[in-house]
Amino acid sequence: MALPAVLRAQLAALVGERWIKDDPVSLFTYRSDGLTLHEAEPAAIVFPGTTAELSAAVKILAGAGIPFLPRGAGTGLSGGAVPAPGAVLLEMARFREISDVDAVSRTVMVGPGVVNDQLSRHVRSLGLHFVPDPSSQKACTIGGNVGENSGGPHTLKYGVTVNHILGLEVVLPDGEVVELGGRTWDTPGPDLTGLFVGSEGTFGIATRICCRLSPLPEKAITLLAVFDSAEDACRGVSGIIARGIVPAALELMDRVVIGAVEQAYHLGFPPRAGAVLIAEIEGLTEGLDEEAAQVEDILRAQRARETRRARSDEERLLIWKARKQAFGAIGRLAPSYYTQDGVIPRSRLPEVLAKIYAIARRYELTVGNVFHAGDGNLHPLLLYDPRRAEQVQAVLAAGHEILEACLAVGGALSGEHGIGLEKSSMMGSLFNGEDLEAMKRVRAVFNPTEILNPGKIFPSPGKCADAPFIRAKSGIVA
Amino acid sequence: MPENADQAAELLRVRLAEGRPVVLRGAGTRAPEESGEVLSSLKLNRLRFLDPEDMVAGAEAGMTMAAFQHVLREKGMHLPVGPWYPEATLGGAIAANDAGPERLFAGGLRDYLIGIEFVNGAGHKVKAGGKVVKNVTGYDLGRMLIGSRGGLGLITAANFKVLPLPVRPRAVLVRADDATLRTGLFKMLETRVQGDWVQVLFRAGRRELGIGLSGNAARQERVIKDIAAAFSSGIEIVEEETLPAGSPGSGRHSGFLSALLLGEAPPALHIHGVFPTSLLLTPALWETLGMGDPLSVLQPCGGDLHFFSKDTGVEEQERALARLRAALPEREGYLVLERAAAELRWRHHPAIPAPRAFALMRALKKSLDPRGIFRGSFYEAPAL
Ligand SMILES: Cc1cc2nc3c(=O)[nH]c(=O)nc-3n(C[C@H](O)[C@H](O)[C@H](O)COP(=O)(O)OP(=O)(O)OC[C@H]3O[C@@H](n4cnc5c(N)ncnc54)[C@H](O)[C@@H]3O)c2cc1C
Repeated sequence: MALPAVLRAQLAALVGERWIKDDPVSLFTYRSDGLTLHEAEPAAIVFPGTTAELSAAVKILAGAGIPFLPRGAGTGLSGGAVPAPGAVLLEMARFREISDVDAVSRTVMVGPGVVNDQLSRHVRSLGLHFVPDPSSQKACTIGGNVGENSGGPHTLKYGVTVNHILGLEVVLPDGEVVELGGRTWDTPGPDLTGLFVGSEGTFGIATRICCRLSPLPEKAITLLAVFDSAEDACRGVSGIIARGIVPAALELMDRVVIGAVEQAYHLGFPPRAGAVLIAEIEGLTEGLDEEAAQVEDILRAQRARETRRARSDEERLLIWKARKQAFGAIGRLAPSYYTQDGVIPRSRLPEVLAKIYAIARRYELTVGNVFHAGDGNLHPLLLYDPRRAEQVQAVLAAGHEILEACLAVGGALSGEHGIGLEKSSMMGSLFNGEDLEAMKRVRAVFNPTEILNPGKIFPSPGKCADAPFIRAKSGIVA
Repeated sequence: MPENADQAAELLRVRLAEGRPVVLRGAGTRAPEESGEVLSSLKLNRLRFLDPEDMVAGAEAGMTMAAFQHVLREKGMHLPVGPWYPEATLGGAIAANDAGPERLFAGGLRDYLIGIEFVNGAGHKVKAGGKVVKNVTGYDLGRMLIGSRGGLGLITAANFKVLPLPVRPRAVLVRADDATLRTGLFKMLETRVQGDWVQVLFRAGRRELGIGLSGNAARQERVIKDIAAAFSSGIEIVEEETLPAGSPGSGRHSGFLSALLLGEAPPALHIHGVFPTSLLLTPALWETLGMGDPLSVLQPCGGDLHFFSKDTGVEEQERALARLRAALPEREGYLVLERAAAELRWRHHPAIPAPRAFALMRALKKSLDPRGIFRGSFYEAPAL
């Protein structure tokens, strides 16, 4: 659906012709985010350069009744940045400024287009960093992190994105610019900053973000524990927490993922291991070795076949490379994969993991698991070939069952990737009508006409819960 | 005093039908609303679950923070957000967004609240979040209720992520003149000393700084060395359990205020300020804090201050407020009248200045409580 010519001209006059794209290749490129199961081409992609430009663009679009939505790097895994039919994407890549670093108050102002990893690099010389470290941190933006309330391996000890965001400048869907929170760690009144983080681009568009910085650990010890089964590794996780130790990270990779990672990076991971657990403890140099020894003892007592300590920084980084690029490595095993993000009470991990394997077997699918075990945040990766409609269908059905298994033990649909388009149809299995109505009333305060990022998070009335199945059958998913 | 969430919802529906607004109250430690029938959460006081292995616990909102911390401690856990008033309830602490001296190191309520149940302005019970430590399933209405000051809904229960108790907690006490303390605090922040909490007490002509630390012996030794390097004056090390009453850090889990006031009743004036840390270490502010009676409390890391005065006179309270305002840059933070003479509360909005997103906060109130069943002076137009 092309933009009306007059409107296009207005937008081009505002941002400059080179910052508006609606050629077929661009539209095709921007049709999905990291979740390739849902796609829809935008009417155009606009790259505003300033808050004023963005606000003006939003006013033009809202005035014409054309829906729009913000996009960071498009690495989201729940379809948050996938446009509704005919919507305009507002790409935030030009908001790249990092300023006002205050090492004593530990705050910094950043543009939403700043790449996550870049922010930590910027403040490194001060001995500080931005804690949330999604595995996609080399590509994803702080704006996207705010949109999804992203996590990462090191959020077990230090908390997810929301715990590191103090204030936001936001353009509301009517073009008004508001300021939520500020440079203070708390602001009187309802915590609107906390509410905004994780609203998946449905409340407003963040244009300036005040982030909280944390001291870089002086030293980190990374342990690799090898187990015969993923279930045993999960018991190792519970064992550590039960002893009152909260490591900075506790990540698990199962046999399928170890195989893929070995093939890709040749790290010398034991090929026949059922699972490996990466445990990282960090902090001051003094006392850290003792803590690491304690963790090793616990893991061995929990049937770890072997524990290894990274002996150098290079070795440590290699382990993290394997973990953070595991998704990429999995990509070599099949044409595509579907990442799930259910989260459960940690102590139920062994039981739910066993269920996940059983479900995959029943659907004759290969599943790999690489996840934030310390948080109970699962990431089963279901491998499939998008050209085979029956596999697409099996993947969606298996995914649905896995999430039901998470809910059955008191879990939730998403730990860090968001609901987006992907899981909106399942919101009703966790929340009743009143709960959802209350959430919609909150959205109405920010986004009353739903012109901003429509069709996300909530089940749409009259929409078949299994809409993707139909699309898969009709061959649209390819 | 409803005994469960359903009763509370039922009662609210009756009041809605009658068109009679209510005042939500936990322990009533903060500035009470002027008028209206009080709906107290005090009988909603049961623990719902405590799973140390999963590091989660949930309780009804009328349970006091101190009681909650007590059951957590018995299982080796704690919520690293200390209550201000010992009798503060969980719901009240959430509605007021209480935070203690651990703010910089451990975070605030926003970082630990994982699930919420409340009754909305239509008299319906609503829940959001859950009992897992990480969750982005739908909007986080729990965080919205943090700081909501009783105006958006009646909180009936809350779930928290909790942490293992610190290992062998100790406190380092430093007594020195203002300049030494301020320089030391700056240095301590710049060199990123890894304490657990920091609190400065201002009492008649006397300053006392406390820094908490924990961990194994080698770690503690290092932190103490770092603290000593930041402060040129002598330091004293005390086990947390044996902290003398009234010293910094006392009452961290049971309510600071009674511990710090040594049993005295809370003073008539309590002004709470939130500012970036670097603005809290100025001579002008310290001089003003020194006028607190019986004390002032500064928690520079994470950025808040608490000024108290026993003076009940309106003009005296007004002058104290003016002095604090003069010592702090107006647009960089906020002062909140937690307790004050009625006249003063009538003159000022509870937050000074009113938050920048005040219009949105009011719109939120209107959307969630369209018939104004919850009295909420916080949401009323600020005095000019
Ligand atoms: C290989 C891989 C690994 C990943 N690992 C992790 C992980 O470990 N942890 C994790 O949490 N996630 C992970 N993700 C998911 C994803 O990277 C995160 O959700 C990330 O934060 C998205 O950032 P983005 O810039 O790509 O945002 P986008 O995908 O562009 O957008 C995400 C959402 O945020 C909204 N948004 C974007 N910008 C703004 C803004 N300025 N204001 C308001 N809303 C905005 C969008 O509308 C959309 O709803 C991974 C993804 C991939 C592909």
